[in-house]
Amino acid sequence: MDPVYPRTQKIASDYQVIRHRRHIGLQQLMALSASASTILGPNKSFKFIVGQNDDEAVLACSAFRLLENMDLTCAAGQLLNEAVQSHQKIYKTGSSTFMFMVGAWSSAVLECLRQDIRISLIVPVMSGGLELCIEACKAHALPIQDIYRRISWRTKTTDFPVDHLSSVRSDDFTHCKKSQTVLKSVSPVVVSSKKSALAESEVTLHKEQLKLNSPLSANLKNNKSLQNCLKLKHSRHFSVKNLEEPLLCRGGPNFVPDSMCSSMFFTYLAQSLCHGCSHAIRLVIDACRLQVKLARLKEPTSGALTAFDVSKLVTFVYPGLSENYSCVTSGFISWVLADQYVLAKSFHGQYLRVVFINGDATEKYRHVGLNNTLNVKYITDASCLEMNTEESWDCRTLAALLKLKVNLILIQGITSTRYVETCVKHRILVVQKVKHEVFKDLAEATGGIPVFYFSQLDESCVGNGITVTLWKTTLNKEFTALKITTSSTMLVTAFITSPAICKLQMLEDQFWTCAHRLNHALTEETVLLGAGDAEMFCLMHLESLVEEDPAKLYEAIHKHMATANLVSMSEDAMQYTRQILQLMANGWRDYISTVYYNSGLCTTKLKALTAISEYLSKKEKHVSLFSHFTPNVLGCDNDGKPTCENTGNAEVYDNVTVKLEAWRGALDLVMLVLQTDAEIVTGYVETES
Amino acid sequence: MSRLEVQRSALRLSDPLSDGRTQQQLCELEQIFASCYGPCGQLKQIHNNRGGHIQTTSTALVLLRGVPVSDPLLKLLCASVLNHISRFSDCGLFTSILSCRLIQSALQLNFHSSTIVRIFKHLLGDCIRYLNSDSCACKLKIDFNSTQVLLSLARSIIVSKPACLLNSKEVQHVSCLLLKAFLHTVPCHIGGNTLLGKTIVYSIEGHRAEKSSLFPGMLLDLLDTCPKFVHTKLTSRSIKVMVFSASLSGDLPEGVNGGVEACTGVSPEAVLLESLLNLGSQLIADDVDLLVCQKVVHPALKQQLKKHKMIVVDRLGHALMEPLTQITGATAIASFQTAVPHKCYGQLKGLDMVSVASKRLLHLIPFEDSCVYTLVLCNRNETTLNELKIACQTAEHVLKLTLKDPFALLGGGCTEVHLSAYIRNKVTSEMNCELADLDCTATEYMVVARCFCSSLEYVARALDHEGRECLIDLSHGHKWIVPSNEFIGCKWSDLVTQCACGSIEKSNRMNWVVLDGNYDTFSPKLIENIQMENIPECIILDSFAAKTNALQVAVETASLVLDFKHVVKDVN
Repeated sequence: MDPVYPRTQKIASDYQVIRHRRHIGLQQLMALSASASTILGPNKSFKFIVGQNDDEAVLACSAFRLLENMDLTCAAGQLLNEAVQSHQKIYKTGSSTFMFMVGAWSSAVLECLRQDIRISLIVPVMSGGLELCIEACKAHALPIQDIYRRISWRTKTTDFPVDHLSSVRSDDFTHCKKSQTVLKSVSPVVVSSKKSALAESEVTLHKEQLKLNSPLSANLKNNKSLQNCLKLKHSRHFSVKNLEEPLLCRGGPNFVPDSMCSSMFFTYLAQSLCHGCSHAIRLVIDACRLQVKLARLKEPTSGALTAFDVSKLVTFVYPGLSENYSCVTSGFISWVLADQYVLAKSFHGQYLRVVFINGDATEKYRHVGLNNTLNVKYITDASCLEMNTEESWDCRTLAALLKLKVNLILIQGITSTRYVETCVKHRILVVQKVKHEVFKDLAEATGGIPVFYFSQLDESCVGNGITVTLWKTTLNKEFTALKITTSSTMLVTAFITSPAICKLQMLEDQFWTCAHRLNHALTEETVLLGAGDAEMFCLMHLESLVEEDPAKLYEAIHKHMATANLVSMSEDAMQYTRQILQLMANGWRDYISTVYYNSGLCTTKLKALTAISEYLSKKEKHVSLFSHFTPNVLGCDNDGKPTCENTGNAEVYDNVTVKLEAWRGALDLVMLVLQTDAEIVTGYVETES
Repeated sequence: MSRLEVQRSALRLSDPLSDGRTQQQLCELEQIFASCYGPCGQLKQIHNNRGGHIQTTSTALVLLRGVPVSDPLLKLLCASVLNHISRFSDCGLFTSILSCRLIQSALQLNFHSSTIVRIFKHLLGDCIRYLNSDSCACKLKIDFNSTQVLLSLARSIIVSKPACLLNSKEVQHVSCLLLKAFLHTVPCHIGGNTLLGKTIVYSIEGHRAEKSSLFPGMLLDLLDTCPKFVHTKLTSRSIKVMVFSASLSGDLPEGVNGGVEACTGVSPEAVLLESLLNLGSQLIADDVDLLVCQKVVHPALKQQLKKHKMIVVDRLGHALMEPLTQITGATAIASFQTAVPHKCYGQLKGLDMVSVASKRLLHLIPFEDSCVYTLVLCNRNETTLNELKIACQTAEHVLKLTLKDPFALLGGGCTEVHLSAYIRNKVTSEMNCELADLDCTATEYMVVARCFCSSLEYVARALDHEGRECLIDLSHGHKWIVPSNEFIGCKWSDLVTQCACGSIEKSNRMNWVVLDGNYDTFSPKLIENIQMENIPECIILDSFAAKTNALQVAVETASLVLDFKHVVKDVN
């Protein structure tokens, strides 16, 4: 057997060539990705990354943070890091899937190589197979319209039966009455011959899911069966407190299936996308509700879905308070120096005038691009010595601000404490280090124009309508948190707090992940069924292709063969294709079993793998994977519920593009590393013989 | 007294090629290049041992720039290959492999190096004469009335870089875009000052290659918020453009080197700012719509111009200045302190904001006869995008070279094998006339010629990395590959279907022999039926100009290296 170690050749003093026998690169990828296996699924395990020399520790629970903080010495590790970071930058979520699939497919490829399958066959077969699976998944994706119909149908049929009124609060009573009238107008549509397409689908859903034979209208009088419905669909959604807001869409004959502005549907969708980050998704849902409210103030006809704008979300991190204090608020929150506390309090309730300063507010600041190499010699006579240019700058700028009656300066950069003191004395608040997006948004909302220098300021640059509030109590003697907002802004800040400071970054990351997952789902208007369903679908699709439609498979593979005329599909190639696709599918099996193992639904991965094989052999294509994996099948001890914080949803969803692009990116990386046969390390000083 | 060191005298190394280390390094370099060659080539990762950026590549350009070589002979070899790449862009790996191979096989021979060099040069002359002649059987004339040959040429180049990870649909799409860009850059009217147009490449990472597209004119990235008044500029009149190459950021002009003396109360910055604002008022008065500056524009000037609805683009960079002046006809102004003459203004047909693969860019729309196009290239990650950029630049250059030499050579190794068969035939049949000119014996001539031919065949075989058998057919002299490794008991004719370049299908009257250097010489005949109409879709082609020059550079560099007697090295 050949030795496993790379064969290095040290011959030159300028560079060293390391030839990869046994594909060290792929083995390194496998080893690194193994750390991502506990990050999959709803129960994420936190990881501490400790520095060897300085004993600093970082808490990470997502793949990109993990790789960011690790000191990667091998080339394959650096490539993995770059690939994961660039995926994260574009999609903001899905990096753990990416990292896991890199490891899974690296091991699949290594197994192919062990079976002596040549690289020029592995690359096109895997690429072709993945492309076919991705196309099939896209076709299999669920439009969120369908989910909406299911939810809205459920709420209509299980809404407020008369019995329940006693347990309902008085302000909900009027609402119940309203929704009963809603129901009354729906039922004739169902029963009578005026059928709309929606009514028909509602009826079919109704029959399938509840298997009740009598038409809806009869059930309205029959509270018992409605109570049965309630029992069958016992979920947080239908409890009283969630129905504070009226259903924002109007039911009845004018029902438009496209106006998906139901906040209940929104909550449902968000919770099924969050994959266990229930704390973060609660903040995201609150943020969205706030955005809807703000949008309503601007334009009364906008709905929940059109109002959600992830680019207008900001986070503010506050160490020390309990996590229950996390909330959302409009505008943005910033730290200011504590000596502005009294001034800020006095401005409570007033509308302030604001200027926006790009860059720093100091005398020495020059805009980027100015090479200040002016070698200036000042010639003067002794009578007009003006030594202190800074003070004169302060006076001049203050005069300009007072002339314009400005109360607040928002600075993107920094300024000196002395300047802040001077400003406070003249009743001007100063906020530094404002983030760029916030800056731009507030400038637009208040009508101000950002400038670089105070000399550019004039009446047209000043914005109006800003209000300032003190936020929470000052725990810190030096700084105070100030909330700044205006009426026409859509900015919403998520106030994130935790007593454990190391957890703050993680909570912020989770917030953004959930927000972007929701955003992707709403922009694409489709989702994939989660909890391993998409992967299982791909497994079944590949199997069916190999058995029933090999021509389509070979056509896809040929597309990926660069020199198609050189390699004809000989008999062994066809057999190898099957083997390669089998090994590739094992990557997905691994993923599904890891997800189920991590979520606590089964005690060992082996049980999950067995369950998967059983499912495949039964070929029950219409039953979703999640509902198939009952406790009996998985042989687990708890009563069939995942051990994570269950959001009460029956379904788990995934984003389409994020998942498919993660698969593609992962396979690309594995193919690149597979096709690399040597590393050339430069800057190498020869010391050994 | 500071440290003084005794100056050491220079080292003289004689017969540098006989040094074992040099030979080993040469062998190593050849293996690196040979393993990267072709569409099935393996990739190399180049990085510094202290960490830092990793480049994964299989192109000669990146490899030669990234691999530091200190041996003087090998440095010479790398430098001459880099020079070839800078002039022709293509066939870099071919040159390096061929010259390394020639040097190595010449070293095995026991003859005097000057004889070998003479014979090599003579054989090279024969090759070039054959390739340039009309009866050359591995050459195709490009008909500019049909796109098929040009498309095949572009496609062969894109396909030869395996790190791009493109499937055949994407390869087709990118090749079509490249061909379109090339055709657009050829000007329609030949006037006095005609220049070939330029294709600017704008790359976007993270999207599939199918999203690549071609735009006339230029695309600029507006780093600030896109101004809302762009759409109002799409009026019927043309856009007036002012181009500045000087820095408008408030710096002193570049000519001022020494210090500045000023009285107190006078601030040089304020004075400069005032002259900038004066310039601004002149531009506003002249109704200019777009100001483009190569360097930075002072924010106060930007604010003044934006108030009057003028679009300001700064930090353009040096590379885009020339195409910009070509499209607009503007003259770039180098000073802001004097009034701007009216004839320096340029014209554009229009402006637009376009959305390309999730990025919003400002599109400068030129008039119809402009030859500057922007190719937006997308690919999924940084490595694949960089390789695709190099492949596209190579393809663009090669297509431009066809304007001068409208020919293409058959690819896939067929040209090399064909040339080798031709040379073998010529050497055996016309030996007597040559010997007198070359001043060598018959054995020497035969042996060196065989060495030359086997080097050519080695390069052709290097395209296949899986150890498959290569054959040569005894009628046309093309290379054929046997797909599988199990051919015991089969005849060659059962295993092969078409030749490596795709131009010949097998026929009953062909005979094949294994390509290992020992076969009877024959006279390769012309392919009678390779007419324009019969060119197969998936033919693989090489650039004629690039390959002939590559052949010349390889042989001449090898001859130069073989001819070295001494190396003098300064060790201070």
